[in-house]
Amino acid sequence: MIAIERILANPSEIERRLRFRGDDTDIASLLQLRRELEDIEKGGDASRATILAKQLQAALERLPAVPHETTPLSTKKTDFKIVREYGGPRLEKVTPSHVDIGGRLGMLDLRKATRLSGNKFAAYIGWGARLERALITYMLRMAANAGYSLIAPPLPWAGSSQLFTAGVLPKFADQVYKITGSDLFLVPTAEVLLSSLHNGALFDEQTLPQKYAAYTPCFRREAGAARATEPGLIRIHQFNKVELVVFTTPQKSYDDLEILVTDAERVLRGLGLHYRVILLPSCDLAQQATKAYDLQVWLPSINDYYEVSTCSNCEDYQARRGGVRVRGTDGRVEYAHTLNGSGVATSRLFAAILENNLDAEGGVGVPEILRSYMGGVERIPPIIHHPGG
Amino acid sequence: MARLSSMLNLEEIRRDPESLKARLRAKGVDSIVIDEIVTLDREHRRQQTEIQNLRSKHNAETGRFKAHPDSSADLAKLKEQRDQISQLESQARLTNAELRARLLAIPAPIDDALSSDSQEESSEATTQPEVMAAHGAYPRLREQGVLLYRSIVDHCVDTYVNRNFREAILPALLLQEILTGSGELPAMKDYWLKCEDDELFLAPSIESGLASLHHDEILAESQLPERWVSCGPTFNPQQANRPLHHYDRYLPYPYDQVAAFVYLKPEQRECIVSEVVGVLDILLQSLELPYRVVRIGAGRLGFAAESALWHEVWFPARSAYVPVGVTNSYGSYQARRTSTRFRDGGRRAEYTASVGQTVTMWLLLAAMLENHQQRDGSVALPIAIAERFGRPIIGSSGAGPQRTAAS
Repeated sequence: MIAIERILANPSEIERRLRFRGDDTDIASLLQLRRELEDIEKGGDASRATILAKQLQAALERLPAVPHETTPLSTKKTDFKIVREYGGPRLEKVTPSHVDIGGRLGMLDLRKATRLSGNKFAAYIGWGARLERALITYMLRMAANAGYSLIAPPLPWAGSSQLFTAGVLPKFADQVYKITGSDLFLVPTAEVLLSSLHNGALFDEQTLPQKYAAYTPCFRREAGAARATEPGLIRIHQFNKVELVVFTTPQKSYDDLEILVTDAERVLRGLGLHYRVILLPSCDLAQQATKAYDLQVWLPSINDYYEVSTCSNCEDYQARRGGVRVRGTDGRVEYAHTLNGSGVATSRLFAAILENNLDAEGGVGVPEILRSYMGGVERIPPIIHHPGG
Repeated sequence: MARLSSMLNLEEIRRDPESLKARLRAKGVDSIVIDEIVTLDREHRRQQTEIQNLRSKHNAETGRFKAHPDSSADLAKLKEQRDQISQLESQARLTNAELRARLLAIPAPIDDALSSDSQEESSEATTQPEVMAAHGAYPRLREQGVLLYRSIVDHCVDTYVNRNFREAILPALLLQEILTGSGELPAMKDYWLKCEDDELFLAPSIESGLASLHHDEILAESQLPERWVSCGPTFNPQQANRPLHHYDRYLPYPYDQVAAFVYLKPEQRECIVSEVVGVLDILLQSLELPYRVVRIGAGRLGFAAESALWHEVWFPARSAYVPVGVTNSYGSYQARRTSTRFRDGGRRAEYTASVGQTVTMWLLLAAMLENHQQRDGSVALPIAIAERFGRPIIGSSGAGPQRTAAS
């Protein structure tokens, strides 16, 4: 949520920046609403004032965050900036896709998943399930080692107030699975649980940053079938993810964002995957973000990079909604800043490991760092005979 | 749904309805329900016979008409017969649909070996608990608690995997027909949690998906027994409408469930039940937890189960045994609903049987903390967990965060 004072200070610049992220809110009419409200409040028509205040609040709640000055302003998603590339050799040759490899090694069964749940769900089988589980445990350990406090919610669901704080509601109500007859939603990301962890809190400046990590399965309706053609695990309704969330001060938030990115990168480095970090243009930012980096792994079968993590600064967008504040050493109280990033989503990582680690005999090498979680196995061999599909 | 076969064996109902009534009484099914099914079945068969008789009569007369096609009176009669047949056929279809619906709503009858009036439970094996004072439980895990929890989950799943169970991670949202196959629907349609807009149910058990891996398939006999293990969250309406602090913390609802599921030939049942019970024994012993195995009385069996064993672990803070694992034998009940069969060479395909076992990870963690707490408040981990967790003790002074699992 943007503070109305910030809009008042420079309405045309705010509007210009919002245009670059595809938001066409008429700031002038929003300010008109605000003037009307002030007039009526002076006149004392309380009921009319309440209605107008609600309208203004609703309009403000639907506004996305204003892009930071370092975010490239563009309406084209291709206008990102490559920050750095890392990793072992980038496989240029076209390999079979992870769907073929996973199917052949009995690690992945999309057909069975469709039978159970409909299209765009995944079933991990045999070594596939073990790899998936190893990735989750590995990523949690990496987060703990990097100083994140781990949290595990009893179930991957959240109430509407948590989704509101995170910025998912009200705008993206059609993207989340609502549990009928309750106020609960299946979480689209653990960010919705972590970002509301300190709702209503007042931190002392020196206690920040506070860093949290949580693993949950994530559920997304992916309404709007524009991307329905993406193969296999690239975009599915349910996937596993370790999410990192940082509460910090306005003064340090952009420095802490850089640290968050390196923390997420460490997961990919550990797995020996080729990846790059890009700075997203304004039009590709999430609703609540002012600046964001994407970590993208290389998928040889698609011959392109694919996002496995977005690390964002939300400035005070979520903190305003959740009422999270910080008191400086000088006693001044202001809203805290929140950062979030995936550390990381497993489904595309799973795809990247299969495609990048495929050997000449059709087996898949297990990244060294995961072996201890998989009973010491170094390689998933091609199947000779596997009963039971 | 259209290919869903009958769940109770109709042959069995026809042969000996009285014994079936007795075996279903324990699950709260009134005898009248079976009588109604018997009546419907009789009616359906009568309709079938009538259709057949009419058809052969019609065929014979059509033959005669073809030999002497000049008789116009016969033509009208033939048309009348055809109308009558199609009318009867649609009646028969309705009867059949009614019959199927009635059958789907009936739980699995209890095992013959269980006396239907026995609400008593017999204790089979017991190890003595070491009673210790311990604090209660903790709905949200944090810090070392999360890693300890992951260690337990990984250890638990690997215990099955190392014994030839094939692992699967399945979706947590399931289609209606999947829950119908496992027996959770249609009887409790309004009970389970669902996302109505997407026509998906939240998995009430990890077994639900495992029971439908071979929907409409015929397996080779050599494939059986086929062992599966899976882990994931399960969803129960009892949690959804209650604030967090009102949980009964000894209920198996939050966090993940590990489920083992075996497809087998009906005659392998005894052997497989003792095998999976044995795996859970090994698991609980490796966690050094005091437990007992209890045979469940007919009145507490699940909808689709014909017999069940509970593994109950001792919880010092509550001074009670609490069930952490359930082993269900489903006979061919689920296989009939999901139409899962097997065939040996040229023989007729038969329905498989199934045995399922679920273990509540949350309760294992709670039991570990309560049973292994030391006088100084730290928790000494059993070797199997310490190896994965990386430390033998959690929460002792100077060894990392003091907060272990409470929030």
